[in-house]
Amino acid sequence: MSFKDAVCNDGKEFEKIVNWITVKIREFLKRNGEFIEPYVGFKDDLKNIVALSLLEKRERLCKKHNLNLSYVLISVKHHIIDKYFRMKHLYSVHFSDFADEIDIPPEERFTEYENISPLVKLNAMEAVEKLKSTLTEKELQILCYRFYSEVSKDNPFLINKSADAKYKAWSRLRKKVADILFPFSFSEDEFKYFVSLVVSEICERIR
Amino acid sequence: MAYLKNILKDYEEVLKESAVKEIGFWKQISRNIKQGDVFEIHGNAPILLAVFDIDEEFSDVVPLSFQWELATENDLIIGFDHPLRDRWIAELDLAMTVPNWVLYQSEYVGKLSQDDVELIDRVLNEEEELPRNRTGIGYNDEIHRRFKELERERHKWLFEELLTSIDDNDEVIGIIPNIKKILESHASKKLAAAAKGNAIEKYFGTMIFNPEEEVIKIFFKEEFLGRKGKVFFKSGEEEISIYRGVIKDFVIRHASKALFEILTEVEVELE
Repeated sequence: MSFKDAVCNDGKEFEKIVNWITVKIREFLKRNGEFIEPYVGFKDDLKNIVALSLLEKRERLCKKHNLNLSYVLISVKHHIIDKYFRMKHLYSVHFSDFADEIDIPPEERFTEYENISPLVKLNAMEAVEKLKSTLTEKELQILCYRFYSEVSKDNPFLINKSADAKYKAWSRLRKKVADILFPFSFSEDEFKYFVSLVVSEICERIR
Repeated sequence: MAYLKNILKDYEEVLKESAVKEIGFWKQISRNIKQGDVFEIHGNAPILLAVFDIDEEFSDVVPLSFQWELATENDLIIGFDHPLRDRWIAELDLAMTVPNWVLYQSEYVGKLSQDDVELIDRVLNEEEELPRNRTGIGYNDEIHRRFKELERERHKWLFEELLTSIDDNDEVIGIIPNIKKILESHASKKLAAAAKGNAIEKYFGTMIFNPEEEVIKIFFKEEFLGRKGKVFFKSGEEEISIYRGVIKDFVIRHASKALFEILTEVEVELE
């Protein structure tokens, strides 16, 4: 039986391949466990996830004239990473902490965000879109009032309100925003990047 | 950054193993090449080329990579259905020109979405910049520099094929490594093959092998020259295209005796 036959048909050989791939992926997850986390907890079901992933990719893989083990491993590994994992962060910051505790020094406010992986960018963009689609126009103005003050002393938002009214408006909105952003689990650095994205993608457009 | 370092290290390991170990026939394109077509030259980190500008002999292509985590600010993250991954990057900073025979010999694996084709076209023509939400960030740090170094290295041979193809004296084509492996394996399987000399007359012309220069020269008969057609090798039901386009005398480089022996069985079909 060829390797391709083993992949493309059920049986003991298929199971052997699943076992081998599971070992390799477990090694990968162990090496990278501090950086990525599963969307849903499945650590005990990794073998089942591998089997399912291989079955999902099988039709595409089996159209190829030839297959080798490394190729199949790459295919399944990518499928599992893209479908089940996201970047984890070393310093999780609950959004409600941000309002009171984080004071971003001016020299860091427009940091060039080099070397942030596209995963992080996509995560932040998704969060921006979520805010845009969930908050009302008025709520976006309040959000921008809060975020803009992190990037500039001249804050163009809520200028007709008193300091007390601004504070109360933000206090009322804070929990709603925290709940929207909680699933995104931003680290401190990521959150800074996210704030800059909110300013450029939302606030600059509605000021 | 440590995660990206690990990804880069894994990618380097894949590239080391990327020589084609097993060979077989694949689906080559039977129609003319169109903008957005994607062609693959096999390997564990295969070379995928998305086509943009096309003329009679050459096409402008953008290489794709599945390692989208390592995207720089010059790479566009795209969706592309492929056994290895469904998310790729189009590496616009590595856009290059290749001779069309490379594409005709490769496997046709699909098309980019029309929106992505139009976006990339506009960016290549400097009418627009890449959308920030679909690129990586940065390009000049150690990890992204190393990634691009690896990408340039593995695509380098295509640039060399281009330089050779634009040689003024002869029409020069090559045989991509995967095809060469297939053809040579067929040559080695032939039982008690009659020892052929280094020249053979065929119905379409003359083929000559020069072992010192490691080239095969094909001189076509008058009735074939200047007409559109294809040069191909057939094994049972399977067919491998070596060349498609306007028929002219050409030279195949990096040729071996085994390759010559099997290429003496090529056929030529006019459109």
